[in-house]
Amino acid sequence: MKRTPGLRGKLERRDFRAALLSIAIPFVLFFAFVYFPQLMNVFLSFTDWNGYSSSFSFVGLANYAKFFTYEPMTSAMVNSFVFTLSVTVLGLVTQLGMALVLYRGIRGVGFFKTVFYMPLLFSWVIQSVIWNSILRFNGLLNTLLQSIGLEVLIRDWLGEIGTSMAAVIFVNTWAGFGYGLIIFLAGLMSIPREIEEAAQIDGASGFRGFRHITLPLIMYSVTIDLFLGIRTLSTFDLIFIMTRGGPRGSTRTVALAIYEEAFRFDRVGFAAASAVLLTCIIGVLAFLQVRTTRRLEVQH
Amino acid sequence: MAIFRYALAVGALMVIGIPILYGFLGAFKQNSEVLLSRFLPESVYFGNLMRVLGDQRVLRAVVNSFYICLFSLIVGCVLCLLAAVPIARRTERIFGVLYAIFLSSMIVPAIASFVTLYVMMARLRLVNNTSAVSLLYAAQFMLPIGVLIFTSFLRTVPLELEEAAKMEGCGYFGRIFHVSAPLIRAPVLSLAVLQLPAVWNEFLIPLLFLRKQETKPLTLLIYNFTNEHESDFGAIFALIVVGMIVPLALFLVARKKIEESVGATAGGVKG
Repeated sequence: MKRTPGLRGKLERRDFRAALLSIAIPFVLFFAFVYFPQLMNVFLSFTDWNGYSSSFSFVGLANYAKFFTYEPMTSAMVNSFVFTLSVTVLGLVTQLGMALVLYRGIRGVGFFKTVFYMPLLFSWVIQSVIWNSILRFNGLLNTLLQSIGLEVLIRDWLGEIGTSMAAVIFVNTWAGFGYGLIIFLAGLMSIPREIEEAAQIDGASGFRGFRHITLPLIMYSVTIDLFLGIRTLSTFDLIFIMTRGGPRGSTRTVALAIYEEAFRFDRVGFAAASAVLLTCIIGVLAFLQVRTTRRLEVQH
Repeated sequence: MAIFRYALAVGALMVIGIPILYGFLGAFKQNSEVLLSRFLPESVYFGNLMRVLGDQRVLRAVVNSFYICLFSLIVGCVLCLLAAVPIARRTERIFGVLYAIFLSSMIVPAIASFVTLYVMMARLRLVNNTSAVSLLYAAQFMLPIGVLIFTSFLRTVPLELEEAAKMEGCGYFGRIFHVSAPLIRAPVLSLAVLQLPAVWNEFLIPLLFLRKQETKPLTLLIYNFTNEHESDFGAIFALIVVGMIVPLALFLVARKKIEESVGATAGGVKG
């Protein structure tokens, strides 16, 4: 039917224009502070700009090629993968485990959840102060080890190459524990009672029940948890504050390397290319992971 | 089996709780005591807290933190509403595309835009300008996730009210502020409980853009203080207690809401 340009059509058009204006206001701010810097970053990744001089030249894909061959960057990439893999697996196991413990019924669930969530409320600066005072050589942990006769274990946990990575992995897992826990608890709560009862009647309890009944039903929570885990590939704050990447680069992650390339060594072009690649790696991994775990999700 | 469950839960409780408690107790110890790494203070000492709270710079930093939080939240909410109403109501393609652009930015790690953002802020002379940096917070912390929260909420609100207002001759922005705005208490609260602690605790933005003493928020002040006065443990712990109080208070007031919001936004990703 042909539309007659009556009052209604006129109002509609005016509404459309008003809607465009309405969304334009937040979009301008978003574009200026979020989207434009991201686009500009892609542009700079093809240049050799140093961050302050008025001229630069295009270098094509040279910065991208350098990412895969420049030793400080490749070793940072390895560190980041070790960090992310450990944090994700450790997080998944501990959070899901504790969610099951709390879900099966325990007195004072509210209190437990409150305490478990608390680390998320505090900045990395605060968490670092606390953990530095525990993990430093004459800190709480070593004092405790000494008092129970385990002097052999005493060491400078954050200052030794052998333990520094494990220490930051532990702190990150400690900090994120409550978030994943809530996600898994929400998933468990959403399982209909009838399904659980039916499973019990059919004799599917214990680990078998978990593996074949519970796990597929909360696969959606697993998807989210793993997705959040993959994002730790860009971890910056915790490590910058706690170890600055040290000792001797043992905790230097990609985000830290990018920061140093840009702000210390003035290689903005290379830093930009590295950031683009990091984004792509996270994007591809997240896509693959979501696709894989989604396939394992079942509806109820 | 129940004993096993309790053992696990209490064990985890200690691993999570003891470090926090240790940090908290540190504020009430003398410097020499902190060095000894004893868990409990010999006697409760308020000197650190008094010293820290009497410091003009600390009070200034607390005020800055509050200012940034409130300014970015208020601006953020207005902007989220302006974006979410058209996205939730209009069917034209453009709004879907813009929505996708808002959301897709969330996957890009912060470090990927900070290099250029730094250059941009410096060129525009916006470094050390708390209001301008608050707008940056609003754009990064409030907008993408807020647009997501507001839009999914508005989609559940029936159209009738808006239609009625339209019939009465209420214009587009009139409808946004008189019809939609009063309804969005719930998503505003969700956004606030999820993102206010994130703004309060943010480290990289102030590290780069709020460097002058008078503009520093509390988190950066604590960071700088710990680097400059490494051995003044008492003051350091007193400062972190000051930094803990506000998010902790917000959490204790809005615990249920936070739990809901974490669940819901995690659910929003499914969409």
